[in-house]
Amino acid sequence: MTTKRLAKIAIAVLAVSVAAWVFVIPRLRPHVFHGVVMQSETPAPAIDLEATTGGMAGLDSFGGKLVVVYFGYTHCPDVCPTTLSSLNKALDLIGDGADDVQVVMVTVDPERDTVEYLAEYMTYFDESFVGLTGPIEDISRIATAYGVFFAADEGDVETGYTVAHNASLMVIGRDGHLRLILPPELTAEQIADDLKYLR
Amino acid sequence: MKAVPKPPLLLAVGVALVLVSCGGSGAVTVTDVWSRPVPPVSPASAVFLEITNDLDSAVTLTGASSDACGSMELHETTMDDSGVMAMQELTAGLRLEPGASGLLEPGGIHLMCIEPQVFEGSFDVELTIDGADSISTAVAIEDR
Ligand SMILES: [Cu+2]
Repeated sequence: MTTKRLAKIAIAVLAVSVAAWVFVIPRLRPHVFHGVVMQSETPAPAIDLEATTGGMAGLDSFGGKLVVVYFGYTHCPDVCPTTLSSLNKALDLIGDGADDVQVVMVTVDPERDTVEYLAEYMTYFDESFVGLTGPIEDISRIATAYGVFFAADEGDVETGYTVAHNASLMVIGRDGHLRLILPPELTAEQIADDLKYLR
Repeated sequence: MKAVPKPPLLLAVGVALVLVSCGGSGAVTVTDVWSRPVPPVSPASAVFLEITNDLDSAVTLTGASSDACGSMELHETTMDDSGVMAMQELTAGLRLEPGASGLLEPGGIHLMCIEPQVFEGSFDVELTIDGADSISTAVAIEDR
């Protein structure tokens, strides 16, 4: 064997190891989710509410996208804008693949969040965001099915009131099953990281 | 012409010296004052900041006012074990012992701007502090 040939083999071996290191090994390492992984046998609870995009919408209205469902309200000054802004940043981080993710906010305050109002609110954070509203009984039933608690404090539309609510994000896979629950304290980077993996 | 009496001047200097020595090492300062942009239809937004008390006595941040807000209140967001977030008014204010700082941040304490009028750029607020002069500062509206 000539030295030249040996050198060629050495270079080939090196190239293969570099390729393995760069492309294969990171894929072998399991993704560690920031959110809580759910393995449910049954499809995620149905949602059938009035959408800011017009008409009624449910989980199957979004063309097989990954659906991120948030229960919030527009009179919420701190948590809701923070979460919606993080989701917008997460979609930016996902880049091209963001088209496969649909963010939906179900209002827990339908009395004040009309569909027109919600539309203006949601699209401010991201053009693609959809708001859902409907009769309070329907929203309560859906929230309960997702294990989401909410309760308005005393006060009326005149005096103002706040709504305590579970601020976790429910991630529903393309198969219609609940895949992941993202706690409210996650950063945009962490949300993007999990959504990229599921998408 | 009557000579300008000197005692008042001396008294003023004396009072100033006493004030300086009473003031200890410094003052109450606020830094990093910001607010997350919210849609113009929003009925409320939140102002965040860091406040430090370098006085020798405790002070309490009790609230604020601004031409850019219908009203302002000091609130605290809390989360229980099951992830339910709620917001209460901090009626007693935020007390700062000498040398202590307090951070108003998302998910914690904020000054709520009710009926905001300004949605980009910045606006001025005046912080009301028990035990110290009120502080005027600009709030930067930025998406962090
Ligand atoms: Cu508040």
